[in-house]
Amino acid sequence: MDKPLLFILLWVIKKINPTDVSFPHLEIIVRTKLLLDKRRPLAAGFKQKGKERKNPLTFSLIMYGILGIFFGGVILGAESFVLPLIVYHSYLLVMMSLLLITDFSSILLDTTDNIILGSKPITGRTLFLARVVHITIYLGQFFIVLSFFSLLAIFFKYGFITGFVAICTSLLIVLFSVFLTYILYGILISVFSEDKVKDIVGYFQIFITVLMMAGYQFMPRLMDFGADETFVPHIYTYFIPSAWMAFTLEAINTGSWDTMHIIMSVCAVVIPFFTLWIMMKFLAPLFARKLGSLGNVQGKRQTNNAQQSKIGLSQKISPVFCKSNAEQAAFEQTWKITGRDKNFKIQFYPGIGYFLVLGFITIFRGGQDIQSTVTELSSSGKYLWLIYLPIIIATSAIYLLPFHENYTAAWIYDTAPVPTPGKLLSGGLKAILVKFFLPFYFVMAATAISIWGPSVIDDCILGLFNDIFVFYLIATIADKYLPFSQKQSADQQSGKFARTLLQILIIGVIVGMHYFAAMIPWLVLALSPVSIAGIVYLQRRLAQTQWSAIKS
Amino acid sequence: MPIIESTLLCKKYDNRYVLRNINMSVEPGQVLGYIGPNGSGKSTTIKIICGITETFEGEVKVFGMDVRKHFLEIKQRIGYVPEQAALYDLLTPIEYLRFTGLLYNMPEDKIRNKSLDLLRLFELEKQASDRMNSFSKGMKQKVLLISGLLHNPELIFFDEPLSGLDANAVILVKEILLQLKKAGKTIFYSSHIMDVVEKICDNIIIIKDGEIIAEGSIDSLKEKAQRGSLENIFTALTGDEAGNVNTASDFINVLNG
Repeated sequence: MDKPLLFILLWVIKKINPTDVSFPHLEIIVRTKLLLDKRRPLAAGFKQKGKERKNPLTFSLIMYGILGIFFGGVILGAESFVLPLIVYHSYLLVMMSLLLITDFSSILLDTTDNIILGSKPITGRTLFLARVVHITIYLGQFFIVLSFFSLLAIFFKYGFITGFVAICTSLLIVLFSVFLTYILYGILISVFSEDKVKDIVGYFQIFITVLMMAGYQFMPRLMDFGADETFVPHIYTYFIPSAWMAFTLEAINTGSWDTMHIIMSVCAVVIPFFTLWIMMKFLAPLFARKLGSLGNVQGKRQTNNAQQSKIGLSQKISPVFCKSNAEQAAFEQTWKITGRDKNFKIQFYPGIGYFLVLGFITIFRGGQDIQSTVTELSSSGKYLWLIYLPIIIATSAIYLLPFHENYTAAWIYDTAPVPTPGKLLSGGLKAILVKFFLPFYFVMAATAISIWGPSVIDDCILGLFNDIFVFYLIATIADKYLPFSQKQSADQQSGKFARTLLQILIIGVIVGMHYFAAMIPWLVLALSPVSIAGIVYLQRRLAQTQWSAIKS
Repeated sequence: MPIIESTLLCKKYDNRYVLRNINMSVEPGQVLGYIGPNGSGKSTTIKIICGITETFEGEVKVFGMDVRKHFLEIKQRIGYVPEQAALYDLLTPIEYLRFTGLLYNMPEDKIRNKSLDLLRLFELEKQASDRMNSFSKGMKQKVLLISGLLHNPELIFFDEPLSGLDANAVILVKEILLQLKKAGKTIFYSSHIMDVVEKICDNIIIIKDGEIIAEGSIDSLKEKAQRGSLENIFTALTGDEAGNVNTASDFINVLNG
């Protein structure tokens, strides 16, 4: 899809024939960058662990396109006019902003580009134009796949004029998302250091992935908008950009130009252009200034004094959970690296989001309003979902723990006098439990108790031990690698299906047992010691793992 | 009593011997250069002496103890500085040194004080709390050096410690090697080039295809090389100047063409 876009843009530029721009340079730079886009593993979206797709960009475009079909379906199927269009414009706004935010970083903060291209005899204007063309094509592709089917549906359902205006409103939304990105980057760059900005952008990438997954869960459910749903605009509706667009389209389609519709339409047209003016006038110069100083950040970071450096949380709590030095070292290392490694975060956090979305859909399915949902829930047995959801998430970290970009650093385990490598395994696993399971579990248990009342306290207690038992059971069955000692590779992916199946099976059996035990009031608490004994046994076994059992 | 003593050490992978009859004896305070081309078995030897690999033939004693039985005690008294800045660079120097210090069973306050002092000596105190992924190779190598020496080992292994270092760092490492030698530490220096070795090593072992092909002081080795018996391997290890000159002039010819 990039080829025709490139062709059109190059044609336009040739016609304009700007001064100081070398056309062959421009073309080869943009072509090379588009090629790199195709080969670069995606930062966000549908990244598969370790698996190398031949063309990740095309794949993700197709996936966005499929999601776009859902939106088209919603617009076609819904009887309400405004609501699906608000959803569509909001989706476009959020996705374009997130894509801009995440991809802006690679353009903005990538200095290798300056080194490679900066040393070549290319004019500054050519370079600037090449960047503009490149990002326009990149985002253009996403814009097309995101909006194509929805626009098609609008054309089909509401006719040519509304359809044409819908293209305009979609483009205005894109303009607005550019503004949002500018604002956000303006804030980030003024407040944080370069490294921090990269970190924060990383979180947006995670957010994008979760949003995509949630989209796939929610969109089919949105298809059946009720027939009687007419959207009454509240006062806050006037602040939602996607509402301006939707109401403008409604006015165009129905021809009813009352005060509300006129205000909305004016907002829809004026505000995006106003933001454009702000960007040109104020934000762009501010950016140029800030970016100029970005490279010099290193110099002023000398405030970090080693003596005053604060002791991290992991160092404070590691003695509570760990007995030996080796265990403590692995605990702290796992704690710190899982909080900093972008690869780990990108693979782990979307999983959390996914399971949360899935969990809540299962629990709160079909409820109209919160009040009746809660009363309905409290008479059901679904609290087990809440209690066992956290462990599904924590166990997924077990399989991520062995992998690290800098895996060669694991030589230290070999040369250090570690009595048994089991101590390292056990320290790493404890860090996962304490960091990713316990806080999450207590939130879930508190939620369960507040909905179902104190009668589920005993279930929460047994659930806690069962969760930890399941965690150690899965860790015992899993291949044993030392933390962060393996290269990310395609092998990581093999057997994933069987692994997940086993995981579900184990958790299913435990939940089933808990479900039946809950029928006899005293049994739930009585089973807790059994569970604890299981934990102690498995934990000790793991901590005694010998070198011969460690895979490498 | 020798610090390292190996007799008839052999090691095979998949029925192929990668080490054959390695006999060596390293006295306390000695600096041994263990030199050989890539793939000659240097790393395998180090792994065996450090107690990382247990399966081998022959006998290896470190500090007079059998490496198969007393590997924990031996590891505790050994320091290891690997090549290529292989460390967990998402940690800060302080955190990394704490990590390795704990693995070497050092008390926490000692780790902290010593790391700070050593980082200051290496002029890294300002970066002590910065994550190392922004560090240059030389800076990382300095941290690795500290982490290998923090627990004050008696025997130190250097595995290509200079690869990737800038000129200043190279000078610094050489100086440290000399100081460690003065302090009476035993050093096992493994490399595929002669470069530094000739200046600081008391004894040099040249290994090729898993076998020791020469041993002695640098002078005696040079003498042997001149008499012809070692010429090929010596040129390979010191860099074949004549060959490189030819390639370089061809390169210029292509550029001009």
